[in-house]
Amino acid sequence: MLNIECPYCGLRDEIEFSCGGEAHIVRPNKCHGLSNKEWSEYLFSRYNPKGIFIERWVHSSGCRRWFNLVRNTITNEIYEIYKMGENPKSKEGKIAFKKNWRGSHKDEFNNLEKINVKKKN
Amino acid sequence: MNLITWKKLMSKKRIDNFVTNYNKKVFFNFDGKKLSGFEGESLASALIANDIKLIGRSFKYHRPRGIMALGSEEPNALVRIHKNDRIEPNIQATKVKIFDGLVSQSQNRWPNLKYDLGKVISFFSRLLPAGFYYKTFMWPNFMWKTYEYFIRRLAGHGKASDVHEDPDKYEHIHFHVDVIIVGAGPTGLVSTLLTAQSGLKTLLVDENNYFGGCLLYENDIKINSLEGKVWAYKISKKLKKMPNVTLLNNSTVFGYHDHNYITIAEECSNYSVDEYLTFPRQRLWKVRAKKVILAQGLIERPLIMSGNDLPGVMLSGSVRGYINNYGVLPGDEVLICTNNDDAYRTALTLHNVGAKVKYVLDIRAKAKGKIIESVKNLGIEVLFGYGIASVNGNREVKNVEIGPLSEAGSSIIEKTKKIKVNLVAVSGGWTPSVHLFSQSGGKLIWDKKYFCFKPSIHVQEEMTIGGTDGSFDIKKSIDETIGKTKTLLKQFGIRTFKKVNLKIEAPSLSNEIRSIWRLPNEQGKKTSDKAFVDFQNDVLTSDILLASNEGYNSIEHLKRYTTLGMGTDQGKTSNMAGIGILSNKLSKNIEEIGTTTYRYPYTPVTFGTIAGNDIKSLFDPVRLTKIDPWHRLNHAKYEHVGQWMRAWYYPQKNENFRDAVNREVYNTRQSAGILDASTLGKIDIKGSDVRKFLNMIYTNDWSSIKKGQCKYGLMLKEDGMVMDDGVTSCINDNHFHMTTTTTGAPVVMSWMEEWLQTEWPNLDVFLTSVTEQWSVISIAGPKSRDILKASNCNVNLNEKIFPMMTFKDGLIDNVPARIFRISFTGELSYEINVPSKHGLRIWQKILKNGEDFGLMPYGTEAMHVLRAEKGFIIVGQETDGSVNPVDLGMDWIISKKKNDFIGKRSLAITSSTNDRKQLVGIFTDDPNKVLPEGAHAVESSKEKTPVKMIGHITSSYFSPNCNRSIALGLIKNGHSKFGDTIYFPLLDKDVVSAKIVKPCFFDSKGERINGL
Amino acid sequence: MGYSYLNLKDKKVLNSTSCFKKEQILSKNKDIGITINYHNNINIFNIRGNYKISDFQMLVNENFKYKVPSSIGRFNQNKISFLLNLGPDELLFISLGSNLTTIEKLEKNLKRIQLTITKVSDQYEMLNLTGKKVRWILSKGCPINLDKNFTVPGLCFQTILGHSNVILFCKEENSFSLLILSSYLDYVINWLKVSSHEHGYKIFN
Repeated sequence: MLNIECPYCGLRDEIEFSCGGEAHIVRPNKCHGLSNKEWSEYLFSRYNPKGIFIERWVHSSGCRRWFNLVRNTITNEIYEIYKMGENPKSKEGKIAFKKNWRGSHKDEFNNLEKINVKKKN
Repeated sequence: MNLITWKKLMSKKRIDNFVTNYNKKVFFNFDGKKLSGFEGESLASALIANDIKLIGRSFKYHRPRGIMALGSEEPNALVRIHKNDRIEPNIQATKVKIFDGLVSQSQNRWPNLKYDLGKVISFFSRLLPAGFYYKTFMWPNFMWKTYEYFIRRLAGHGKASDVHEDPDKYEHIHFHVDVIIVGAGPTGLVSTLLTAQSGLKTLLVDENNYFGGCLLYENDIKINSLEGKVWAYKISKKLKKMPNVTLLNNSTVFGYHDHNYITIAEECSNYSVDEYLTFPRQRLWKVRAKKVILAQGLIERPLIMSGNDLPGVMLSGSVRGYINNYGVLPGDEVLICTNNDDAYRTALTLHNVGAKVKYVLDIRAKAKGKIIESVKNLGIEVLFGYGIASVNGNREVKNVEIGPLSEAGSSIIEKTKKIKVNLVAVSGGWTPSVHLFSQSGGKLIWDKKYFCFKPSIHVQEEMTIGGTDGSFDIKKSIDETIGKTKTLLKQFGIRTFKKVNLKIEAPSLSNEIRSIWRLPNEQGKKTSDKAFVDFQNDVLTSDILLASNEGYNSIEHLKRYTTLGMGTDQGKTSNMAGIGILSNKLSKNIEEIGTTTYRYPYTPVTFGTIAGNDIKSLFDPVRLTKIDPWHRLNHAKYEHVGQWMRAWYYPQKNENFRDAVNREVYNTRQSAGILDASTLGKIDIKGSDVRKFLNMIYTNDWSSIKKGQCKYGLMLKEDGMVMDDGVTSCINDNHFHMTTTTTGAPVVMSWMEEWLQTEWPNLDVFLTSVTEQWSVISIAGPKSRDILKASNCNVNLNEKIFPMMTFKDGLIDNVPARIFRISFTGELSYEINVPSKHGLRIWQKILKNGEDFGLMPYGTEAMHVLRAEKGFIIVGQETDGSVNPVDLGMDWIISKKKNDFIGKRSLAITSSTNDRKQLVGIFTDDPNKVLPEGAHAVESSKEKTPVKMIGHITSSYFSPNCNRSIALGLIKNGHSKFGDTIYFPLLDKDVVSAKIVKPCFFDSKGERINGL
Repeated sequence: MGYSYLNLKDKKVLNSTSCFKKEQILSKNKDIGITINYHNNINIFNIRGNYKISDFQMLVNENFKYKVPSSIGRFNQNKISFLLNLGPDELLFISLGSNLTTIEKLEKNLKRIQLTITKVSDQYEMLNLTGKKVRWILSKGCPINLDKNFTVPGLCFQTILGHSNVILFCKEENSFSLLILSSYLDYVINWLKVSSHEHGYKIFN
């Protein structure tokens, strides 16, 4: 029973949340240009490391907000929790983020981030 | 604590003039015999007092067994407890607290404990070593069922209750604390006192009824000149008065989970409480602590020798405990065998109550110290370098054979001497109780001096103190505890501490131990290999050696192959010896062998405790609509749709299911029907980017829908498969009202929120769930317009003004209503949305007026039939997550204009694949035969098995409007097979033939929709 | 045909159609640990949007004489209304009684400043829970730290109670309000009864 600090509601028991799997998966904007293999990778392939992993969770029984979480899959230690749309700032988070195997979509992600930043009025 | 001296009872084993906490005389029953005891003492203690040594029969070999230990580490004495309707098997006699009228029974024996026929198995013991079931009972194959029948009867411990209703109440409680201290022994109490005095919210938990831990069982520890248990009592009284302290006795911390989440099973009221269902019997505490302090102490290990499982062989510390705490004497002609100093305290205790200690055998070559001298001074003979070769007796210890050990300790070097005894107290050392520490993820280290694993690397916010920490000197422990606790408290910002003055007098023990994991048998004598390591699962030392010989050299493999440590006692007294024997066999260091993974629960937890009050009506919420009281009043039958209970059909008089549904379906198309559709999901979508958003979520185009119009939409998952459908209406450019299926409501809401928050946060769209805000009353049928007109509705229902797929706002009986012209039946239909408070009233108003027009209510079954007659799909019935819109013949709903929408890319792959199952209609050749839903289709009735299946039936009903059976199904390449005959082999061996037809059976031109 | 109908004007009928039968069970010591009462006439509005706008603050202050609660998990109240901050872009406004004109004015003005307001008065039921044992009883099914030093008046939580999602807010030391989806009312009342049985409870409308 993890103790998760929702960035909006504070520390809550895991039972209030649902896990959304691997984080930082960006939906390809030009999906029709992708090969079937690349598209199926986006749809189905998910990273499953033994060690530091960045995943996303949603506070389903609370504020219903999505956020990102850096967790050690062996010890369940949580290193960092940060809002959706942001990048990790902790040491472990940065290492795991760099290791992101979805290299081809990194640029898209960065572009999207710029749009989000602009949006905040 | 009532210090009343009590008198000698009929029982021979109670010590004269002994002072205990237990003083109310009660009668209880064991195996049919009425016995006396004191309320609150353990059943084990009461049985010892009544000189009952034989308590049960062992798991595999049915050997006679007795009480070995004091508390939850007891492996042998499992009993079955009765009180009226409450029956519980496999409870340790050491944990049962007796009360007046307790009925207890021994287990695993037939016909009775003394003369158990199962003993016969012992003669076959050579056929039953560890892992025997991988080697025996293999042939012939078909005999396994017979073997299994007998093995099941012979194996196992207790028998479960025959009563199916548990009369007791259980509950859960969530609790948040600053500090939790597990174990109320001397160090636990000191730590709690310091923590409590600093004002932090504190929780102290202990397994036993009284706090004090080892202080309750020893008589040679004094704290501040008070006897140990008196000091403990004073401290617990002090703690009880503090408002920031919660004390939990009779509670076991059974699990240490992530992030300091601690689960505790509390025994709230023992069997004697008769108030069923009001007060909980057991309570599960779910505690989140900022800091955890583990002070669970040490568990003693036995020595292993031939015959060590006979009743009368006990752990030496436990012998002391029975004397000091309960005032009962397990035996008066005693032999003590030890490898450490602690057992000498037992010699002193026994001597002081008048028992005769024949010898103290110390397997160490030599040892010195105060305590050894004091034993010698009493005239008790201490033999160094001696061991027990065998323990002998029929159903209890009668004598032991002792002899001097060789230098290596691997053999007895002289002829053995026979000593007549009735109690053997053994001590093989003490193991820190590191279960919870290990569950927390902490790593252990091997201590060479004290021959045990102790905590080394702490992973969570916890600390270990006292015995748990591997500390064997009580004075040192307490000093360390004070220091460690202060350091912990400083982390809370606490700077000042009350002075803690503790003068501790305790025996000093050098505690250097010698380890001989299996004491040797007598030389020359035929070696009996009945030297038990795990008593509960009947695991012998030879089993461990056998497993190793067969290649199971890892401790985890050894555990599973031999079942060492897999009993309800989880190897508390046996795991260490197993590791030791394996390490000797492989000539490896113990550190290299390591321990098995410690898992929760620490001691068994009942299902009742885990279920709490989530049973019966509270197991899963039952959701009802606001119109439900009418359905109930009119005897509707219900069906579950997710958590909702919806009216399924409304039988009149003596109608059965089929008649009622046929009537409802027929009547709806003849006059009109009314349905409670309030459970359908409704989502209010607002914002300037709504159209953009809907264009991504739905397959069709939403850019041009005008204010007041409704449109049917299909939602796909990113893999192109149908996820949900519904009608969405445009209230204005920035405000849409979406509907979903009943079970889809929360799913679609979460789905859309996910996209908006994680992928398109730049879209100005906001969602609010309004499923329960509106009651939805659906009227369908040619008379619906007239009925609505007659219900005080101020909306102009003229066909030109209010066409199909539009909605209007207005009033019905002065209640604000939004009326949608949407049809799920193909008939003229109005879906009336009113705020749910008014749902019941408007339903009644419409129905009352409508009765004259022939209006009848219809339930979900009739609704299913009506839409099937028109070939409309139901998501979840025709689809199962692997069906895309093209399969359903719904190409028309996929926009050709749109650049992108969720699922579009995947459709490019899946819609072009051949051999996909496609939605078609099925007409059975016999029009009265209704195929069962799920029936599989095959191409020919003559094929030999295995036959290729080409599809299945998704919906199947009898249609009174078509006057024949109708069905929808997904058949491979169905869209190119219209007119073909296919076959459905059914479970009753019948093979039904049917034709593939277009999936619309009634009003295929759609002429009835305007009711004209 | 001849279907049966309920006389909705009859109070007895209304009471029997809901699980809100007046009921009382005393504890062993003859106390009542928790009192559950049901708020009949409430209006609830869900306000969503990026509302870090001073216009909105002014509006609320003008009409209700309190400020918009500053952080998520807090609420402000006056005698007739509550304003709960539930999320980064979500507020819940509860009005006791039917003071609709103020709400309608609020709605018009909110639309002007591009906040969305959705009426959800029938979506929720509001239960008021008072009594010495409220925190203990709620802890049986709610994982929040309900210690009186932690959950102080002014805090609100979106959490669970047993199997139902709830919005819980603390009005006073021993006084809480619970907002639940109306279809879960039966379940929650049943849950409260089972959990309060040994402490004594009183339910009224």
